[in-house]
Amino acid sequence: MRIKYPITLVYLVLGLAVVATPLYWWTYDFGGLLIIGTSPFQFVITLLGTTLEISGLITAVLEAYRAYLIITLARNIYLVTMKDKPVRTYALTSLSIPYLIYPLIIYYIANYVFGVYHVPAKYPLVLMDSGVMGMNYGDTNILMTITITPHLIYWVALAIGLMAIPAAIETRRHNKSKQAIGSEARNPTTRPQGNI
Amino acid sequence: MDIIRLIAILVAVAIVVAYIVINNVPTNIHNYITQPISIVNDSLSKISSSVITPNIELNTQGLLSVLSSINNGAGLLHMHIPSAPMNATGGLSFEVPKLPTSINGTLDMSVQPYNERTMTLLITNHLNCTVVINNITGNYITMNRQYTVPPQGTASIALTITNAQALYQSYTAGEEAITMNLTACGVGITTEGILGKTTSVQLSIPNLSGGYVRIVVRNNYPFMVTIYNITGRYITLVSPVEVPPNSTASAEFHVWNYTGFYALYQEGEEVVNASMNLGGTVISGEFILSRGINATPISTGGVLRVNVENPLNTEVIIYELRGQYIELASPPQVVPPGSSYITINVSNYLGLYRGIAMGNEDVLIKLGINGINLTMVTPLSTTAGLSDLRGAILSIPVENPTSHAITIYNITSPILHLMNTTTIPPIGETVLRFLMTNITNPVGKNVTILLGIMGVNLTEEFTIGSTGLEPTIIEIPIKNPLGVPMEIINITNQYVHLMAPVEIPPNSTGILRLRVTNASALNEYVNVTVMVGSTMVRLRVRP
Repeated sequence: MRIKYPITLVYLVLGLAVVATPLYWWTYDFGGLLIIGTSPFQFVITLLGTTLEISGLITAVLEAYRAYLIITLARNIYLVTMKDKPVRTYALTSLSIPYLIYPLIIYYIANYVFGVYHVPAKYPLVLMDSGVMGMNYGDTNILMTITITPHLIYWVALAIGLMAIPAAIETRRHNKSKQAIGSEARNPTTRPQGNI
Repeated sequence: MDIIRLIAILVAVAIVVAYIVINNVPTNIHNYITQPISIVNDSLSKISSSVITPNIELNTQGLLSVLSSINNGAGLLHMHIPSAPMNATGGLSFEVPKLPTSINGTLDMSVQPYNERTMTLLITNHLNCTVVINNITGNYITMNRQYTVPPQGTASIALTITNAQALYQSYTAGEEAITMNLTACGVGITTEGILGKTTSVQLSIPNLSGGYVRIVVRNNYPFMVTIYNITGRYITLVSPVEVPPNSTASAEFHVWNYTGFYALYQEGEEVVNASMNLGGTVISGEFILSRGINATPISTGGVLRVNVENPLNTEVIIYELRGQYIELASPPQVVPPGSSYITINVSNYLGLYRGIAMGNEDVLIKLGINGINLTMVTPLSTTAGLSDLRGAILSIPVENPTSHAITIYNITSPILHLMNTTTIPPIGETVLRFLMTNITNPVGKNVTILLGIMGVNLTEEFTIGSTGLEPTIIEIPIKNPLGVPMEIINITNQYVHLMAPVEIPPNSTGILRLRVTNASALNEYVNVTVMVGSTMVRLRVRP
């Protein structure tokens, strides 16, 4: 059996694998005191060594989203392999790219909050890796190391997310070639599907 | 909208609903919000009590007074046991005056006119011997000097009135009782009567009940004799009397019944209880008073007065002093600084002195100095100085002001060793027992204390200073109540330094090891550097 959209298929299968992998994409470590592990499908927040109960509720919502994505991706793989239908989906792309911007958002929010509450500290601009935030209260001097770490699974997810572009080109080319050959191309069932 | 996507949405909703139902989110939602705040508050409150200083309060003042006495080699107490008057011969003889066997006559008194201040009594002596009026006292009258009434003569006696109105009432009612102290023909007589216009006092021997009599005591011993008391059936010594060697002294006795006394005295049957100091040896016992007392101290037991020298500047309490032949009389006895004496009961002088001479009279001594008890066994000699305290057992009270039980496993120093593992209950006290192993100068020496608190074993090192124990290396347990690792990187001020950084895993205990160069620094601000998680905190705290 010949696969009509191999790039799309690879994109979808790898995407399914990444979505199903229960690993955190990024870890935000605020001085070892507050540690947040996050991915679009799971979330954990640990304060002074204790996991906050709210992370369970948030994770439940994200896991529900993971289940939804797994089901729809499986449906798409079925459509591509069995029905030879072109499928376009940008879910992983739209989930992975914003992670690059989150540290910047945290930077602005943190400094805004510090300013509002007159916290005598300046949140350092940490995009990745580590930075140090200093605070002084009277005789007490605090140096908090802030470490923001993307994990390997994130880079894999980002790479697969970027595969959406060749996959889209692939489905479009097929659509164009089919249009050139005959009327079959206008068959509505061959339209790219699965925009999520 | 295709059916698969609908199913996917339903699955997702089901997962969320299932979680909410299973974990009962609506009731717990309040916890979700307050949990971070309670974690922070809980940690802050625990961290403030995370350091427990294993403080024990030893009676260092008492310890040092003991140690300093060892230091200067003066010893604790010097006892001078009087040398045995073993070869002494001699005795005491009592020269009882020969009294007239019979006196018969009267003494008349008549009250002369009196004013508010004085009353005059005219005394007529009908005896053939001199009567000395030593004293006349009544409720409202006193006499100021002695009067002598010659045989068959008269004398006017001036009495001072203390309350004229009361005297008048008492006198006219015939109720003014007077006590007269006379010496008639050398016999002391005490007699009572009622003061009237004329009063006649009958003086007669042998009908006289009793009175005072002076007896000359001759000391034939070659040493000083002090008679503390003599009590017989008919006589008592009025006050102690000292008799120099081979000399005499006059002792005043109260004789209850002359006739009875003379009868017994003549027959050599007046048995008296006497206590006296014969050349430093106090003896007490029964003696027969006839022409003399032959009281040879060596043949009997008694009370020995031992001169002691206390070289400390604090009092020493002797709780116990016990040997084969001696025992402390009425313990405890307090020995003030300087020279004083203690009294010991001797059951057998001969045995005691023989034991001292042969060096095998070991005595058990239990002393208290500033709350520290010291127990030791030492051979007794005539000059027993407690300078060699090796083998002595020191009992030192110790207090635990913390709310945790502290077990002291061992205390070692060049001079003292803890005898047994001792646990002090929380906010309690107990007594530590030490064996003194050496008597070198303790100042500058090190003391190591091994103790356990909250399941942690600690080693504390001190130096014996001139004013107390000075900590050199102290170990302090510290709890990490947080769920993140903690590392104490540095604790420092001018005199205190953390010897090595201490890593404490979450919810466990670590030991801070501090070098102290000046004990006062323990109450000063210290700079603390702590790594909590990956947050470095530098702060100044005061213990």
